Amino acid sequence: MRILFLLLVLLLHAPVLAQDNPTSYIRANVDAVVGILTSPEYEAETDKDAQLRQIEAVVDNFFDSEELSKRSLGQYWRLFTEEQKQEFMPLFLKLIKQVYLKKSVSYNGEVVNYNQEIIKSDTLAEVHTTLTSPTLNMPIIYYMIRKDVSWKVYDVSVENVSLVKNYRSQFRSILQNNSPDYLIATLKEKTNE
Amino acid sequence: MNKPLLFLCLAIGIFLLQGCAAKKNSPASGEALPADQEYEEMYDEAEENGAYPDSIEGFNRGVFAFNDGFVTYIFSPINTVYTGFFPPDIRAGFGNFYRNLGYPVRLINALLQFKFDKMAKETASFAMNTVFGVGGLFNVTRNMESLQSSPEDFSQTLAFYGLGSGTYLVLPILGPTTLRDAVGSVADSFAHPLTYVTPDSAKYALIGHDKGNAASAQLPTYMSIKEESFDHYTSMKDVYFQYRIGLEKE
Repeated sequence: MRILFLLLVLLLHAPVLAQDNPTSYIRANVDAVVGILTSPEYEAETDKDAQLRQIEAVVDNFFDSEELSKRSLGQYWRLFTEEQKQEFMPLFLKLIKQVYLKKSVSYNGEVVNYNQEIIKSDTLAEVHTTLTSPTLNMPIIYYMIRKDVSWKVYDVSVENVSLVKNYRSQFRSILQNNSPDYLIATLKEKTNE
Repeated sequence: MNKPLLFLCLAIGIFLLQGCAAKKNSPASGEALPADQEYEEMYDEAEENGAYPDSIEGFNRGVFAFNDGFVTYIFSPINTVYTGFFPPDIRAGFGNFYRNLGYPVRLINALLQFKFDKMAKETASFAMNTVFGVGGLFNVTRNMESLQSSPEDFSQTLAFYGLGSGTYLVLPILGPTTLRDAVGSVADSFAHPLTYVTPDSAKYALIGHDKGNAASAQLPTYMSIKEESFDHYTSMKDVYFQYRIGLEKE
């Protein structure tokens, strides 16, 4: 009886434990997306939309939208009013999700290798992976932060090119001559809202 | 009589230029944002020191727009025919072949930077790919973890000896580079076997095919950067610098 109880407790805790480790967090999410992409359920052209929705549901919790926005805006973050921040964050997350979705649809049997996990502190970590196929060998690093229970991704770098740094360069060049509202309007246009 | 006037003009000119430079270098709201050590560290602001060097941005943007037109209206249609004719495996084979051929360039530059482990890795890869990969058409060492090494070139050698990148430069057709990278590629060409192919017509056909095949592989990335960016020019410049700086560090 006691053993059963212990087992039950362990089982109940398993998902939380899995999320507690940066690599397993990435692995769980990547596997979930690959599972949806390769599932025979969505083979028909008419099911592709449902498939995208499914992936979107997974990706929704993958990123830390505040951290993404803060780091992409860098020094300009503090020029945004609270209202502008609240407007900017979901829009930017939506854009990043669109980019991610578009990339995932071109999936063609690549395998993800988990090479290294660097725990920088209690709240910061890096997961180094390589995306491989017979014609491809692409290093991808996930930069992660933990604010509450779970690790979340705040930046992704592909072949040493960081997504956040790239957007920061662009936002800097835009905000040097334009207002935050202009950037938000451009973002709306980009995400079709 | 004319001398003082000339000096005056010069002085005003210099004053104006300094004004421009100062305006460009300071972040739009320098004084509104007090230096906040913790924040700086947290968000990696310190390492960046503002934008990448681009002292001829106007010219670069012009060439960039021309190149984008070239890609859209000339290269893309040709590429559609090319990729329709050669399946992905064959194109990857071409890429492997040319990459393998560039071995002397990587070897010499690894030597110039005293990176002996890289020399060994490059040499082992070259030998195996040439012998077992049918002259380099197949990259048999792709999945051998111990033989992976990022490619060295003369520009990285110059960086190793402390030379800065110089300004960003967009060349017609050839695309993004920097002053140092452009000088580096010219120097590297002397160590590249394709340079010594005769007759010239064959040499230029092979070099053209090498570059075209590589560009064909890069085209999807180019298109997605174009689509996902707010400012295509700035985004490409950033990708170029981040990628090159990443190579320098390895």
